[in-house]
Amino acid sequence: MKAKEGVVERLNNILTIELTAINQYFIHAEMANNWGFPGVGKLFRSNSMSEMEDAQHLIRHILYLEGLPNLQRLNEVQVGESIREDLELNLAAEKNAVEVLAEAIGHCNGVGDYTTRSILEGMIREEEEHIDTLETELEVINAIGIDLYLNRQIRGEE
Amino acid sequence: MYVCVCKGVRLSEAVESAKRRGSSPDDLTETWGFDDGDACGRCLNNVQRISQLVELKLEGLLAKAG
Repeated sequence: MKAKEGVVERLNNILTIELTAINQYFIHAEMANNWGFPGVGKLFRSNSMSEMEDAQHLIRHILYLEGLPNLQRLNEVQVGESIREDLELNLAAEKNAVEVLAEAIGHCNGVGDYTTRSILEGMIREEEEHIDTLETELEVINAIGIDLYLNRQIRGEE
Repeated sequence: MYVCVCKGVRLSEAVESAKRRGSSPDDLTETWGFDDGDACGRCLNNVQRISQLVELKLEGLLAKAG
């Protein structure tokens, strides 16, 4: 099926964001485990896998629309030097993803591509859940302090 | 935060090196080899922003010390 104007370009832009997020969450997960904080490492890894599923949906949908998925392009992978910094970097990345998704949903609505719009609406819901989780982690740090928070992460508490 | 992932350069390390070898885009490129064959090229594209980050951090440290 042929894509409506501007849809494949937007899907490829979102794919770039997802591919970057997969790598960013993945390195944060491995660094958190290496630092001895498997609790938050599990969260980062789970988010990385969720972004990978999104990337797979996007790739399949771009191919369905007779476009070519661009797996070659990545944005800057942001790596922090601490768990708090990683949480903040991921929060900023998720907020950017929501903005880009919202614009793409509006575009799909405008050109009458309701299937793509529906796929992107599912993704924006997931990204907002990630934002909620990351904000909660940062609020917990502010409430109980970084030392106590990290102590919980050593034992991998949820 | 790492200012360059392919070279593994932390912002704190870039700030330390800038105290001795300068913080301009050229200084940072020379110090950390952002333009050599091992670099991905992204840091070279971002070197202006990295230089600004380093200078902000340096100003902060000077203000604290002063």
